[in-house]
Amino acid sequence: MGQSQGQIDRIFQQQSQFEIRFMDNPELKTSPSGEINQWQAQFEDLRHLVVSILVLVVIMSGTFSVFLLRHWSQTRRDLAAYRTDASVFVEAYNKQGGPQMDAFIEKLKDYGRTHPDFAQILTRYGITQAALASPPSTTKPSTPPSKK
Amino acid sequence: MKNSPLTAFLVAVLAVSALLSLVFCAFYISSTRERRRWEGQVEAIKNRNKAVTRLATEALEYSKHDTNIDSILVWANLKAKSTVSSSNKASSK
Repeated sequence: MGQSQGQIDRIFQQQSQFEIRFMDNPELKTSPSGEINQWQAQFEDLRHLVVSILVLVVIMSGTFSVFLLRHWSQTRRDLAAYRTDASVFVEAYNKQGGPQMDAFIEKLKDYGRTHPDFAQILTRYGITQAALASPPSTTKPSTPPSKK
Repeated sequence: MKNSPLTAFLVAVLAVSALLSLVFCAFYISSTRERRRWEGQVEAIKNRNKAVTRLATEALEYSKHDTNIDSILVWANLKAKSTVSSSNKASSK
């Protein structure tokens, strides 16, 4: 009786060891068709993930496109308004103000050729000419003569 | 492997959206550049006006002790003719 009880215990022990091995190694419990199903499920999950990411990227890209479109149309409107004012201003300058200023500067240059003291003022404004490069020195020496 | 139509559609939409972004970006850069060009031109004219105004002011100051420059200032409408003749008379006395 005691011997048969020992055999039963040994059989139970072997069975439980087999169960532990079986649980540790999942490959043993799945059949080939089950493995394919598992792979297919993982593939479907991956596909869903890719589609979700694509949808998100499309939304982001669309939002960015709309932002750029609005920004560009605003800039275009501003430019149209600015161009109208600026072209009037530039045209008025080119027709009237510019030539008058040029003529005024030319006259001052001519005047500066004969008046070296005024030429110094012109030089300060970057209006120089070859004739002004060596003006006749009319300045007095800075140091006063020593009194005896 | 078969491509799903949804994925193909999404990729096509993404490509179109990216292309549109590029086009809008290029238009935006072009508009900004043109605006800067105009602004630069206007700014240069304003700066020149300021410089010439300062030069004219200095010429007026200069005319206080040298009346020879008055003819240019009268020509430029910076000085009235009557003022010039009276100042010339005063200097001749």
